[in-house]
Amino acid sequence: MVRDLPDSPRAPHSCPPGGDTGQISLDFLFGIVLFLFAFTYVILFIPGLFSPFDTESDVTTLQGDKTAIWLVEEKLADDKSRPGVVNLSKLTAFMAELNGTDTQKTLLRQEAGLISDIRRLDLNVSVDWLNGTVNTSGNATPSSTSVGQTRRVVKVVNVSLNESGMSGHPLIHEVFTSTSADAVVLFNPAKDPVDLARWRLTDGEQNLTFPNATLIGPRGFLTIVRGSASSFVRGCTPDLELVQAGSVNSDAIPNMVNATTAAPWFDLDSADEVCLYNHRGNLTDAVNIGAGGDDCGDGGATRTLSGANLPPFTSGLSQRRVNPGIEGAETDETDENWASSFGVFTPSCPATEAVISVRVW
Amino acid sequence: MARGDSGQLHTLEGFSAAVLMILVLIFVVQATSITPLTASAANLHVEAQLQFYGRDILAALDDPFVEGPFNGTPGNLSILKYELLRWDGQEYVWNGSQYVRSGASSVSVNVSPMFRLLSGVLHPNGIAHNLELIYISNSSGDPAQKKWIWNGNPSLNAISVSRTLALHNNVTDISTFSAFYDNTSIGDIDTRTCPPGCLYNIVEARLTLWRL
Repeated sequence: MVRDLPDSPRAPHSCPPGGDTGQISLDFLFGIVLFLFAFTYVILFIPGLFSPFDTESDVTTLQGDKTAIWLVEEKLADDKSRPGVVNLSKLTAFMAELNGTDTQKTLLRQEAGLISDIRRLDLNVSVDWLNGTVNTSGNATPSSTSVGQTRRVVKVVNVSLNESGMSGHPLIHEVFTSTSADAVVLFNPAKDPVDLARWRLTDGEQNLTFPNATLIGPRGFLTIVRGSASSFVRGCTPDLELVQAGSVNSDAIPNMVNATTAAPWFDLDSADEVCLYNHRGNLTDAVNIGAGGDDCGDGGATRTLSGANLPPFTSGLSQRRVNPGIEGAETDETDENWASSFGVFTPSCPATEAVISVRVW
Repeated sequence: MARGDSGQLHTLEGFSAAVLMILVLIFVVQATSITPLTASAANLHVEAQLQFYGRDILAALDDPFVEGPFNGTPGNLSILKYELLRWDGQEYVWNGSQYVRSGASSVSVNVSPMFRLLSGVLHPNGIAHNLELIYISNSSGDPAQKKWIWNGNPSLNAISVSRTLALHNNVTDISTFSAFYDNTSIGDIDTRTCPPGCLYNIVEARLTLWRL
């Protein structure tokens, strides 16, 4: 028989009635545990994320930036008021030093601030010319360490603005000879442009006149080439061409006007000369190439030859005035003011752009 | 009910835990995606490099000390100004191997020194670029914009670098570039006789670079 029993005494409730406030519910516990797992995961995972970019790579990246700024805006700068303009002779010297002895390299690294008490960083610099030529100096970059690299685009000039004692008229700046191609580079040291109309360029045999309205800018260059233009220039276009039967004639480049059309064409050889006459017919500048090349054949100017003639030109290399725009003692340039070797950068192009990559590790 | 709340979703706690978890997830997702195009820490160097490129290119182009291939160029003109003055007013686009006039695929290849520098430096490194000109369009000084090189809309992480060019009637010798106004509609904002009204216009060349 079932009947309602009177309430019998029971064991007391584990929690007081209505007393489950303050209790940790399962859901909340679950959430918190998940959150903690996720949090721990993130904390553990984040350092792994940056392992390719560990602390050393921050250092090399920053040092790469710093070194590139130092190199482009200070060490190689042509003039600090013209940021991004690099002097070719400084660049050539720097690249040679960085390829030099260990002492030279260490001195450069010190100068760049790469050597400190706690860290000694190495340096490698390459210059990418726009035509695809690449010059690299310094120790080879390692394959295993992180290397910081910064690239700067620079304009490379081979004469600085601050020359004093420069001539007031255009001069022959650089001469390049080879069997298939010649080049003559003129430089105008003046602060005003010069119109070369009716000026003449001769090799003693052939008279070439400049086309009308050929302006050579202030402190500007003018490149005249014979033969394949691409064999001369690092991404620069020549200004004028000497067109020869069988040679390349680019339509984009104006041609020199040949006074006498008969062969032989203007062709520099081992004993020759380059003579520049102004519009009045006066000899403005003359350069002798090798022994025997001493006659500009005009007699328009009194020329005193003293000292040796220029050393024989090496085929495929150029000779250039050491101090651009500064005339030697004679109208005929002898060897005192000219240099024959321009190392890795010969033959030169007056100005061009390049990308300098600085690598630090 | 006295004993009925076990197993119940505690709304507030559950909600806050969910929010916390979502925040953590977002954080993790943001922290992991290190690609050159995200605004993460590793991108700082990429952006700095782009900025170097842009600043250097404009500085090299606007260097007034002109050497070399400027037969017939009046003095004191930088490459950038010279190219601007002889610009035909057309929009150019990179077609993969050269710059061509937009919408005319086979004509008007531009191989000037400026285009050569831009293509020689930027394209081998996979950097797309736009070059725009902002100039003063009228006497009240309102700016107007023209596209010179346009390779599409830049990405979100693009870098923009500017160079301001002042064109003068006497120095830049606008008169020898007679087609300049017809081509570009960049006009003389100071029409008084020169001098004193020698200012022609002020043009901002804006180069925008981004990673492809």
